Amino acid sequence: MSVSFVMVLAMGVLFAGGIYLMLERSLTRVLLGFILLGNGVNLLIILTAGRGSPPLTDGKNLSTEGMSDPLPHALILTAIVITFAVTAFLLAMIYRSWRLMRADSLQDDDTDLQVAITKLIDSEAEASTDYDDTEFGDEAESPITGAIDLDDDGTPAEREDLADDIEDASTPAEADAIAEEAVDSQTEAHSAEEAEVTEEAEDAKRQGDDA
Amino acid sequence: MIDLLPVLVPLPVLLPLIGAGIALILSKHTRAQNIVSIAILVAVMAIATIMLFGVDAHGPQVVAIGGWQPPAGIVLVADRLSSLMLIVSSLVTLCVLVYALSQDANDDSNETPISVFNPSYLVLCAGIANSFLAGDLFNLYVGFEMFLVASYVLLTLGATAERIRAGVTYVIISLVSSVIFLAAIGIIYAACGTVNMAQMSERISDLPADVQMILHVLLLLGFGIKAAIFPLSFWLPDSYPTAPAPVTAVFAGLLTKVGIYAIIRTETLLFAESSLRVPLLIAAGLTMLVGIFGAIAQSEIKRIVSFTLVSHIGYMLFGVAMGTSVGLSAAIYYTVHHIIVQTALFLAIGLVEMRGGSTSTRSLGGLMVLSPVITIIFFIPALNLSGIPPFSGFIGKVALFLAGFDDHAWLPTVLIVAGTVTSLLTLYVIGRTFNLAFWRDPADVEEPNEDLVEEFTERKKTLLAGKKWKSQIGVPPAMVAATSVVVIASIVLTLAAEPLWDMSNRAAENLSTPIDYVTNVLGGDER
Repeated sequence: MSVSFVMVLAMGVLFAGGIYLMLERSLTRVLLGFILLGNGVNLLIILTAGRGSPPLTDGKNLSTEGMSDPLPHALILTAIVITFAVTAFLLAMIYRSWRLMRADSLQDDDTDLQVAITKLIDSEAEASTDYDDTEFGDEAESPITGAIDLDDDGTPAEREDLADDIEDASTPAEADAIAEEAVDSQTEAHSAEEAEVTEEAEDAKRQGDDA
Repeated sequence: MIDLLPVLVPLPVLLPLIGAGIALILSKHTRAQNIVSIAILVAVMAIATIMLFGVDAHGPQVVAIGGWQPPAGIVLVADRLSSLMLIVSSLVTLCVLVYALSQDANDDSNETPISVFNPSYLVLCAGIANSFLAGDLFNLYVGFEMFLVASYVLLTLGATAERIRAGVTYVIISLVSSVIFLAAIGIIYAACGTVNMAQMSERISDLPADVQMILHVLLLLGFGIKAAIFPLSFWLPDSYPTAPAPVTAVFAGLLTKVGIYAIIRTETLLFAESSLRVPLLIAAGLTMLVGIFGAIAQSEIKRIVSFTLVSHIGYMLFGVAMGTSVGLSAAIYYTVHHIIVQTALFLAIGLVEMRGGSTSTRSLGGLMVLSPVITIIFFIPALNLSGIPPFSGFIGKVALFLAGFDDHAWLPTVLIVAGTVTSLLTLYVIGRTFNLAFWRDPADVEEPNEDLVEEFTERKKTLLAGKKWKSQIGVPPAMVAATSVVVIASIVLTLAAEPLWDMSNRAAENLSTPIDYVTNVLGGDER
């Protein structure tokens, strides 16, 4: 079976162009890409038939010598019809997409974005709480048993727990609630630490709102 | 009886197609349309049952369409594997149809125009049946296209913005997979001069190894996209969750499995000698792990389950990739189990959505108190999916792992570890979902749904006072019944594990000796 080099080249160009266009975000280009790709495949199938005379006999001489293979021609008819139907469907869908979204491009998945953003907030909240970069706080990290606590905002461990709670809160509303609770329980305390904690809660909330 | 069998073989394809035509004519008469659709699917199920027993007793049935004898004509072949797949798929499609019709009858949101649903659904069934029965690679392609085109319509039913967005991705990805498949057929024809799978099986081993490799990889790429094998699986969790619940259920249950079926068929029949064992095993392991990690990150139940679907495709691929008779038989058992369980789970999620108004774990809660029936319906397939004994998921996984141990190689052992991890992570994901959506007080959730909260407090009050409580929001009994049938079928898989396992074994033995298939189709000596 011999195949024309030009046809193979044409098939290659159709495939390459089709795949390139299908990688675009614009739906019209994707459609054009699909048409090219479909025709590339059709060309591939027709090439498998090889070159030759039409598969017809005069009724007396039944030799199949020199005839091209008729089966790929039958296959290609089915393939063309399917490609045609799907192209029509795709066109209708792209038009519908244009009517609905006023954009000829593939839209992002909202739920996907939501998952991504939730993760982003979490990682940012984690980064912003790393404020204590020295060992020297206002209180000893591990005081001896019975040591007197001079202010009433709790021990550093307790405050850390609170900050963790706020950080773990999955929604801004929840973070807010935890922070408020903390403020309520410490209404008499006016230490700098307490202000810091509330500020941090506000921060977490603001980040949540921004997102 | 034996004479009757070949007559039955084309009917699972023919009947739904005729039914689709009738349903289209009757599009104004919803009732008549529904009766026709259900009757057709019941008939298909009966035929599939007779075929399974017939084929099991009398060997594969081959029908040459239009009297054109193979290899020139198109043949339909029903062997044990295709009959088994056919009966499971007919059960699932029937239950989902009842569910969908009942949902439509009770749904006034007008998102699902019923007149289009039935015909496209029947074409989908015909396409799936055609893919299972095809004895000819091009006919397999036509079967694929039939159910794909129907699935495009079903996925974008109602053409809302969200569905169109998901549909665009799905349609384009499917088109690419079809084009790759079609190109593979063209190249195979050029190389072997036939599209008949039996004849191809004889000729393909004479080809040079590199040509065989190209054909093999091309076919696997085409089927791999359909079966959602990593790294070709990214489209699935994006597109399935937006469709109506019954559509998602039948897609998740069947469409990916048709891909798996095609892989089993081509691996055993065409490429029994040139095996891509190692890459397939690696892909299987990655599919399991990547899928389940995706599920952990999600908060929407439909998306969680879509990711677990991808993940569990890895198990089936694991069985197929091992290529041993035991591995194949485990893969077949697992496929049957997974079709039923995945469908049951998605149908249950549809009930949850109807009852709770959402499928997001961020707004659901208290369903355990509000609807114990739905809870049970969700809980059984959920446990089954994660492989808790005594359910069929456990049996399937054990069978796979045993087949893996039989191999005495390090890669299957690694996969057994990956499979165990995936199974445990599935349990974690399912457990978390259950805790959040069913156990939690609906007032505690991130985005509380006022109706749920109100109902929950009311219900708690009446229960504490010791009174009977009647739900205001009812779920149509037909939907619950249809889902229950699928759930019961999943339990039957456990109870009847032995006959099913024997059947898978026999099917796998058939597959391991492709020469029998060839003589059957090409009319060897003994037929």
